[in-house]
Amino acid sequence: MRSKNLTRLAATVMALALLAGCGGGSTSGGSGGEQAGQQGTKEIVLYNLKVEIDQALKSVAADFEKEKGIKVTVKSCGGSCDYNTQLKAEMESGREPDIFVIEGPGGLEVWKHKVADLSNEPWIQNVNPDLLGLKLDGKVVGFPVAIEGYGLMYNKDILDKAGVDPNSIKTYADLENAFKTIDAKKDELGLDAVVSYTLKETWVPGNHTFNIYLAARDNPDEFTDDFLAGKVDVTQDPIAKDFAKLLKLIIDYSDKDNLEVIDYNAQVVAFGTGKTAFLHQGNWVYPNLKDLQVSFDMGFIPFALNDSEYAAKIPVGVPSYYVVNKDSANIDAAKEFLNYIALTERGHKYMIEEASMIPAFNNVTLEPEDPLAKSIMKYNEEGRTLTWQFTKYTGDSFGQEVIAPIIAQYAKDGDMDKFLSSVNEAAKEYGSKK
Amino acid sequence: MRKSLQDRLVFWGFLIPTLFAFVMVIIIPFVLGIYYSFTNWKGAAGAAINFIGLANYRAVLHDTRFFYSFSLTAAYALVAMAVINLVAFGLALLVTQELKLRNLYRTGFFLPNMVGGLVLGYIWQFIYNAALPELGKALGASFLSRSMLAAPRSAFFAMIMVSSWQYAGYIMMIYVAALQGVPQDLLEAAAIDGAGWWQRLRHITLPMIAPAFTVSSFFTLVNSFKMFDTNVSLTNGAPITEFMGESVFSTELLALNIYKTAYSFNDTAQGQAKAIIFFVVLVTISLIQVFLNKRREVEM
Repeated sequence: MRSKNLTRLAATVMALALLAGCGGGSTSGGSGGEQAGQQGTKEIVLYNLKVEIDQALKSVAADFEKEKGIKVTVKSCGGSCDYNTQLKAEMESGREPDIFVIEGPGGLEVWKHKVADLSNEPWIQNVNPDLLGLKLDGKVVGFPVAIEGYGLMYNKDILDKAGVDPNSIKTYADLENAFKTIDAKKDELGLDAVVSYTLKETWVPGNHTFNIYLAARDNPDEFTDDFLAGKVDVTQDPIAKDFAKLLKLIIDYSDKDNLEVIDYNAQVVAFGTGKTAFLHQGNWVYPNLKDLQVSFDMGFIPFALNDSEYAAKIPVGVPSYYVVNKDSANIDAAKEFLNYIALTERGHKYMIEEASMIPAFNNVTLEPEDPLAKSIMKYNEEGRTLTWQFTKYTGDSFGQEVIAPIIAQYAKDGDMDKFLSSVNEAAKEYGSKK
Repeated sequence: MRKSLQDRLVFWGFLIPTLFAFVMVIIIPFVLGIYYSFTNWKGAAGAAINFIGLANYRAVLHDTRFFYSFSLTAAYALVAMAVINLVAFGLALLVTQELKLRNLYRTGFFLPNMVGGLVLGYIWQFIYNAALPELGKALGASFLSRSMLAAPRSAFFAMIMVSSWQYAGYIMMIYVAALQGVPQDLLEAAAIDGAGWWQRLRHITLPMIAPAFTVSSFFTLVNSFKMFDTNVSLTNGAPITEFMGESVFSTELLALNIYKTAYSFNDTAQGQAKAIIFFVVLVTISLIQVFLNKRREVEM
């Protein structure tokens, strides 16, 4: 009898536990306000895309809490984490983030029913209108997290030893000569390859490299829209041929056999330890290079694809925007945190010193110590910038899942005509689905 | 009467929690999944959903990448099933011999199965991309100097190696249990009659453990078909190869293809349609295999 009672007890406990588990999940779901009310302090959740600024963001969030009494919980997604996927999971998790990241118009298309209007926020006065790219029905909905730029990053020490002046590289011929000169002295300089490139991290070729084709021309916005709608004949486009030539140059002067196994870390380490003269990445690698304790000076040279004026420019843009969740219970607290970052000295210190970001705001007086940020600011001042067109298709992974494989295939067979017609077909197919 | 009521209470008391969990996390999502495969659902919470009939299934038929992944997965599952079962059976024979430290070997072979698939993929990625090439450099062996993950064919076998390493120990335990169940008197009688080691293995041991083969081959085939975690962390589809004039990810197995359709291309509903096709194929294969294997078993 005793054992019977025990079994019954066990069964009841199990059933209750199960029900309690489900019940608990649903009461806390979607009600950040209630939770906050119970604890007496407001809490907002920020879902962050860049794992490299995780610590810096947590530290500014802690100071914000001390000053304003609003707790900011920072959740980060990065490295091999797939942000678009994880964001969907976060949204379904029952505690939607109050502030989350949208990478551009492609991502906005997915989340347009969730974003709050920010067009009356004080920080707007301090941003160059070009950088307020995330708009819904003419209203600003995105807070530019930072501006970023990328290009071919160079190691000044190696270039000096090889006798190459980075500031003189402005056309395709200049770039090819520089690569040849350095390649000839590879053993002497202790290099494994001239350029550190990757095809494994599909966002590098699919988004960043391919952007050169879309942006290095007149009216890039219009062209990209046409391209993505399948209205461009890529095979007849002279700039497409220039781009294919540039791509081949970069691939031929990198560790060609291993491009599909070199990941972000391997790529950065090769450059940071002086095994390559150039690195195809952006200023976001600076914290990684700092960890490697690099001593050499560096900067960017452009992806010179031909001899037009656009060949001497580098792509600078807003990689991601913070948006405020329209359905958040703490919408004002979320907006306040964004103003805190943009308008206070503590926020500026966070952006420039702690996170090594280049602020999009013109009220910042701090100077970055990061040479890559300085280089980008210089390009920016001289007006030598290209737009970021790839943000139009990152939401659907067109670059990573469609363009990147085509580039990898081109790296293997070097067949330019096939490459151009594959890109052409891919764009037509993408356009037909829209 | 009272006793049977009590029995029934206990029966349902135990059943309901499990049944509830099963319905909530398997049955309902499955039915919803079938429904979503006929819509244009994009996976974003709160967006409108429209019914579009069979359009998703028609699109799958014209999807080169899906076709590639499907063939690749079939090849992968067959090879993996053969290799894992051979290795596992070999190991099982080994650790049922009179060996010193035989329990240590059993534990050792079983251990990889305790490591999570994602972690394991990253560990092996490091071995293939960094450790083996360094070793190759040190030994002057040029065939080791290029990572196995850099070329489509070697990457395929790299994946087979990793999954064999992971699963062989587990399957070995099934064979060990079966081998221990083979009656010693039969083997002794055969030995007295002059049967050699091979003959005893071939004519007594193998038929006696046929049920273990059914279980193991079923288990490994289905598991290999569903392979996802190690695929993501080890290769994530790379390197690229050409298939029917298109550039495709050469090691993208079916589960990864479905995942990417749903989450990278933002075509959740089409991913769901692929998953339904996947499910039907998987069930068919499993049923055929069980049916074929049952016929071979020896009834005691």
